[in-house]
Amino acid sequence: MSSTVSMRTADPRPASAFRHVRRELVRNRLAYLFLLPALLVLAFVNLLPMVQGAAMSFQIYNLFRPGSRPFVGLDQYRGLVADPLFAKAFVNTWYYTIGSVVCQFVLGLTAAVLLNQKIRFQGIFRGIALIPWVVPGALAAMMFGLLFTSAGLVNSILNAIGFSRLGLIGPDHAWLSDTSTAMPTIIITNMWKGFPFFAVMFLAAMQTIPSDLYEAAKIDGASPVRSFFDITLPSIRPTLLITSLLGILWTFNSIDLIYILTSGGPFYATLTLPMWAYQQAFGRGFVGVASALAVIILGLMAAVALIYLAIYQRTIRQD
Amino acid sequence: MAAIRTQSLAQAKPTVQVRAPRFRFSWQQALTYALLALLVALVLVPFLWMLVGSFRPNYEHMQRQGSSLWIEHPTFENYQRLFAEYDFARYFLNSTFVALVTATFATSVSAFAGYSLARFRFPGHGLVGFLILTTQMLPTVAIIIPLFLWFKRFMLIDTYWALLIAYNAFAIPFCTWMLRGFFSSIPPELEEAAQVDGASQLGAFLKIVLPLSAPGLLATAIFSFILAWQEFLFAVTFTSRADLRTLTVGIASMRGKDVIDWGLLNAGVVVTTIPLAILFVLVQRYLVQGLTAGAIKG
Amino acid sequence: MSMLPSANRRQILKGALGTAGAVALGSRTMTAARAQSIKLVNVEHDSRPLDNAAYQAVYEAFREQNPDIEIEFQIIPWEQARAKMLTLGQSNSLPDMGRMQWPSEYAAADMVIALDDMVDEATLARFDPIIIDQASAIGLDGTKHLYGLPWFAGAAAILVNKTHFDAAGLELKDEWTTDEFTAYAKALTIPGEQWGVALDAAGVGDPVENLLLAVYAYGGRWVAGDPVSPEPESITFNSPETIAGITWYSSLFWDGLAVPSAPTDTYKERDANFQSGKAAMEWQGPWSLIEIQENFEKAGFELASMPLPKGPAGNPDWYGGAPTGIYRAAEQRDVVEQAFQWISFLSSDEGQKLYCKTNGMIPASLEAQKDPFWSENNLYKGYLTAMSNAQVMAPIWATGFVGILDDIVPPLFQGVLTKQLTPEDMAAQVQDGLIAGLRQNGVEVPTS
Repeated sequence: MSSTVSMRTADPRPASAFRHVRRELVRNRLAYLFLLPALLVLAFVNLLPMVQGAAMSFQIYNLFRPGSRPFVGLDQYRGLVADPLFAKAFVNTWYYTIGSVVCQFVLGLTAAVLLNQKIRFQGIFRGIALIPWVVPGALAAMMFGLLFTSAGLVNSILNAIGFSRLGLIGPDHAWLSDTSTAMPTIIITNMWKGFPFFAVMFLAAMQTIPSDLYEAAKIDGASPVRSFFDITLPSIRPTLLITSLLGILWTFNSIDLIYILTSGGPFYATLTLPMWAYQQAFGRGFVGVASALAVIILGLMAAVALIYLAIYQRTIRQD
Repeated sequence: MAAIRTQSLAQAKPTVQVRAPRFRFSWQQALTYALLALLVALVLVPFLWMLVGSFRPNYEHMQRQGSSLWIEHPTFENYQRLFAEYDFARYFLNSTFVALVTATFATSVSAFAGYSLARFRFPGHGLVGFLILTTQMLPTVAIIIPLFLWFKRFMLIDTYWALLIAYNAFAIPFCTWMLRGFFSSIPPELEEAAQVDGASQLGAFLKIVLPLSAPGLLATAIFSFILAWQEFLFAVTFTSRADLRTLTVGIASMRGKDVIDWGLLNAGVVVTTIPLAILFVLVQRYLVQGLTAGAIKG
Repeated sequence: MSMLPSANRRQILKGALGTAGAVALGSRTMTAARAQSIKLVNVEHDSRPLDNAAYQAVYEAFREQNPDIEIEFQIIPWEQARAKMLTLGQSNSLPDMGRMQWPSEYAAADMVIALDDMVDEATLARFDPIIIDQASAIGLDGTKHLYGLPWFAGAAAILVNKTHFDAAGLELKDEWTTDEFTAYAKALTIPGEQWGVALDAAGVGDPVENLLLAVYAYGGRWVAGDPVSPEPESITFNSPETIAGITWYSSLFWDGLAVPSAPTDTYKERDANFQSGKAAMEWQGPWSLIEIQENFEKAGFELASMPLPKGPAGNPDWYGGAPTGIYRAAEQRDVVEQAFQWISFLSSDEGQKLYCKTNGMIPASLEAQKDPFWSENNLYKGYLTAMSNAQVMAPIWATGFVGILDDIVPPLFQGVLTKQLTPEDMAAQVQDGLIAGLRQNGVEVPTS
């Protein structure tokens, strides 16, 4: 994204707008032609519905009352922000997003370091580590739901190693039925599902680090841990940033795990903003309210993206 | 000459790692293998559970609830039912078809768009870049109803087209972004040289840049394949006909209102994920290679 | 023409090319119907293991009588059913007919066809009037219409592991109180080994209604008057009786007598716990009795059933099951007549018996219930008795009532079970949420 922003500012302001636009179009016709198919698809399948969705947020659009769609301005936004559930869902969304992304990041980075070592069967190890990525989210949720039932594998293991004797949780703890363990369980599921993307991106970035850097460090007597922090991490910083940004954007909006594991419960403990929007639209039929929530989510995401891009610009410039 | 250069660029890198001497026991090596074993266990244990569960009769599912690995009366019944009661072969074909077409089309369209963003400086460049990022921020629930109404208007509901269009629209932004990074990493001198020799820019792109980008294109195709393969909400909303069902929708219908068919569900998960997992072990090399040359440029 | 889904349109075009003359007469006439085979789409959104076979059994018999009507059976996954049906309803893309889980919402969204003119008195007389009321709703014209024909039915009862009862020295009863129920659950609980009762407290559908049964047993009511009356009344849910009901039901979980998964039982652990003998009783409808019985036999347990326990206000029950109806799409495609033929066959005594004998459900027709398959089987008898206690609970004028409850009750009740919310607060919040939801659905709820 770096070059895009800087190039726009470098653009000279047009003297005669129309002629300038024409000239630019002709001059860059190949550039625009190449972009055209992608832009057409984006415009019709992403942007147009998005604008329509945003328009619905100013209307009362109730699926059970088709035909009447009165314009109500910002009423639905006000209603949402005043709802105590909004604050709850807002906090939960960040809990879920940051929890998931941090876990995925750490596990992904660990996996990338391990898989970047000179090891036997490297290809097989790499392949296996990436498997959770191909498992559809809904299926991953079902698998983990089964592991975390009160008589499931996780409790069996914890009981076998005597963890339950610590008294923190009971021997047949129902992980998804407890307001304090439901979200961590979902985050663990998401960590499993999402870490391969981080791992593969980090691994790819690590492979571009010139080997002489490490050799020089070794000669200087640096330990592997030391070179990891002094060489590896700084070298792949742009990738760390962009990957975690994508991770945040994708996680924030994903509801498949939550929907299948808890549907937002128990007692709203795992209710996130997108999950709430889904329930408003399809549980209650309030498409207008759901659209208002979606616009709020989009605003939040855009803010995150802009902050990230600003940090990213600075990182790039420092390099 | 050019091909050799870039290939060596991608392949020389993996040999970079710190080499531990073979003849000496190294703590670092031991730790690495121990942690790798943990990682593999973390990844595979949930699968193992599903695999075991898929050979369990329903009665044992109720009895044990997945708390042990032992199967008293192993059975193939779940798999038989999967293909007899639910046209699972058909679902598999549908998912594969939709994912393959998405991978091919999204990669092609994104190659052009990515190249345009990587090589040309034109007004609106920054805007396009940001628009592409914006599409990654959309909650699906916000667009699914308007999209449904549009598809309906064009009579695309209950056709493969609805899925293909929707999946492409979600794959293209990310693919474009990836390929842009990839193309940026290819030295422009190669195309400039070709243009001096009389090739057009389009010709230079098709004949020089694309062949050099094979790993990146493959990585992108794998990305979009996975995206389409996993999708559920669009599939369940835009299609109703049984012969258009994809795997994810097929499996979702095994969770009924009052009853969950555990054995069938386990078998369904195994059939859906194992072939893809094997495929992944085989192609991971290209994925990492493709990303290595591309993703770094962000 | 442009309003039709593409597949239907192709179908019609194909028919038109083949039998142009007959089509000119209009496809509703019998000549046309005979000349071209009409394909209908039937929708279902539950998927119990034997449902496909059950539909197939009915369909084969139906085809013998109606060789010119072909039916495609579509199944929408249960969890997406509501979302998907409403989305389809927004754009006239509905199936022709089939299961009608939420008649009141569907009627308000103008998705379904009223059947009043097509159904005769004799047909209605075959059913308990309550189940007919449940298949009725207020149409866009503000009056009550019939939107579906029942074909299977159910009510909640207590399934019992007789083997555990014997071990604990407890006896089956035809009548018992909520206090006795608690005492039984306590006697059947062995800490760390066995729970007294398997409850499923959260989630859409039955779980919500099961909680409401406890509320009803203690005298809580949605409205003071007759819920079947089409006139809106003030909501009276927030009452001491309601709170007593919630408290009693919750205390089963608080006191460790119910399975730990109760608050968010996404995995239906309650079934597994009951069928594996880890829970001695299960509070549930007759939805998979064949499988439960098989599993009990294999485990060497004996299965029995008991009615719901009586509270201070008796033991009213809900009338479960679902009607089948005709969606608007059938009208646009001009196949209402054929669709009606199918739904009336499915809900005929013959159709119900074929369907229910295959998958173990209970038929809705009172006559069909007399078949020894049900009337001679002790397990089913318990449910047949329970059905005789059924009441209409949802006020019929309350558009979207069930949907609102499915949305607001589970999380609040989870709060009560996990002790983050008091039963008093829950009753108050359910009442407020319901009134607000109904108003948003355009229903004028009188304030008391």
